[in-house]
Amino acid sequence: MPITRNYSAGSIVYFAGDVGEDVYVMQKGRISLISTSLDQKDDIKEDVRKGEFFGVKSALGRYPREETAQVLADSQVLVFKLAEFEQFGQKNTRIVLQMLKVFSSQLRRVHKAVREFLGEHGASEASMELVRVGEYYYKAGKTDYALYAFGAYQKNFPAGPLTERVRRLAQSVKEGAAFPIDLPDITEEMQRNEVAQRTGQMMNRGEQQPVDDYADHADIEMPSDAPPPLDADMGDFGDLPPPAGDFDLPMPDDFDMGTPAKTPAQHYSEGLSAFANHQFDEALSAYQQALDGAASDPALHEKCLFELGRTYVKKANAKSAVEKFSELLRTHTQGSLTRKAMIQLAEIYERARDNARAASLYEKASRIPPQDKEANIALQKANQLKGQK
Amino acid sequence: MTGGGLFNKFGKQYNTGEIIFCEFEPGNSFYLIQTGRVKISKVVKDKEKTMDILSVGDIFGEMAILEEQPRSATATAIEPVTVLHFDRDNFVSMMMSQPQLAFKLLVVFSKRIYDAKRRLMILLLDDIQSKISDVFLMLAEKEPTYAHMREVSFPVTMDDVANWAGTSVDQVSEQLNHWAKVGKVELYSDRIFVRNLSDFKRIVAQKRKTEKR
Repeated sequence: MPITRNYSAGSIVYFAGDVGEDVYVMQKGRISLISTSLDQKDDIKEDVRKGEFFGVKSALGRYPREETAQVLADSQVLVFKLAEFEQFGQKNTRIVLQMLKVFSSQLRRVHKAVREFLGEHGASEASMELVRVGEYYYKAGKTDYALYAFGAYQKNFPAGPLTERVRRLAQSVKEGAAFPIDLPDITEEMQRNEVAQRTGQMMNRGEQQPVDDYADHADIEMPSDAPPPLDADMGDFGDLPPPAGDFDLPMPDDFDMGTPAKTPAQHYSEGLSAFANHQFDEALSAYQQALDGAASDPALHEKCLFELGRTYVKKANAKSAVEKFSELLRTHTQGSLTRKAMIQLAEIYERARDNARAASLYEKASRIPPQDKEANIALQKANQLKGQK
Repeated sequence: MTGGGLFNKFGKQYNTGEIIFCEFEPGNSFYLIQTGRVKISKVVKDKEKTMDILSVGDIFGEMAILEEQPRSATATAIEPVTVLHFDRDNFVSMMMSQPQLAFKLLVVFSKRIYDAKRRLMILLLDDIQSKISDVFLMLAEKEPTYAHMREVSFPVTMDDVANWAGTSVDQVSEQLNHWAKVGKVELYSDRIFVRNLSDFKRIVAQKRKTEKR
């Protein structure tokens, strides 16, 4: 049976850091819980309300008390030993459910803070990791697990950017083949297809039968032990179905019927392909054409400037790269690539040993929300460079 | 908790070696083991790492009822396993009819909240020395027998430490190698030996004190 205990004003029920297995219920008087905020910067004081439980989490989780329970006025509390509290819980499921609700919202909050700090894994990133895990199992010879992971991808992301890769891998597992060595790097493939999907130049999907047939042939004709192309990790388009034009066109195979006037998005997409194949001059010209036609599409306009900048970096033309990134910062002050452009610029200045300018740009970039991994890295860079001055 | 009716409704069986769910798979149910053992593992840097082996009465996958995040680990049956599985829809009715389960979940959540908060405290430290020091303090807290020991041998690798500290392995390796040189730690392939935990306590306490407003 729980016992009643009296505390006089000014005493302490427990200190932060104490280890204890008792659970308390406030009956009368005034008790305050004093804790430190998670970043350790602030003290938090909170009065316990009448009838409220306290000391539950640390007792159940068997970890040190996180707060000090200070008695502000003569008080009376009910004290449960852990076993008594468990018995009480079995008979009072509603109270346990209430606590579960509170605990789960706390847990969700802390988890969210951790994720934000580490740089949130977006849904698309997680889907790529799922494929990566499947590929690990495939290579490790755990083909059942590999098939499970690929199946989970297909079930949950039927139109995802890695659909074609996963289809091919699953088929290859079923045929008992060795892990294909000519797969493009997964991150590159993911980014390329995501961008292609966003700009409307979709890679073909399983449902588009004619193109899928073509892809199957490509698979068969290409012996799996063929040497990987030189640029294997930069994207090997050989076994992907060719781009099929706007996906809402009824004829998915019109790609080989001459070239009607291209949309800016198509130019952009061509730029990406050329870039992936290290054809930087072609990429520049495609991006430029896309940019010229993108006046009415701010998002595309921004992306074109960014890719032009990146391509100039690859061509070691720092002056033109700086121009493009600067233009992006002028014209898209709060764009989705503003921070990335700032970081690119900072990197250029850093390479040119202009540490002052680089540091200031990194710092600026680090202040752009969200406060994620990229921002943290930028801040670290800024501090590092300032230290070198 | 054997109830036949319950099992018919929410029960599931897995054979030895069968996968229950896969790391990064979206999912919204959680599981209570009725018979058999379940391995919880993660693929870290092209190696599969066993995080835990669970048995009768343990629950897993419980985060799924809280948030729409993909699974953080893979669960596989290492012997024939039967489980009850629940989701958000049948959660409350399930808990009402299974008071022990509700209480068990309360205990699990208490531990998880502490672990997550502790993790965040480490991440919020802004220099590598105190981050790494605090990782070892956290690991010591988890193992009550370590708490009052001066010297502790931790069964962790540099990768683990980097993961907890939210930094690169390079940074961790640089710092630990420095400490190894001055005799504060000894580095082995499968464990890290800390000579004097109170050194680390001092580093972290000092840091937290200066950060406090």
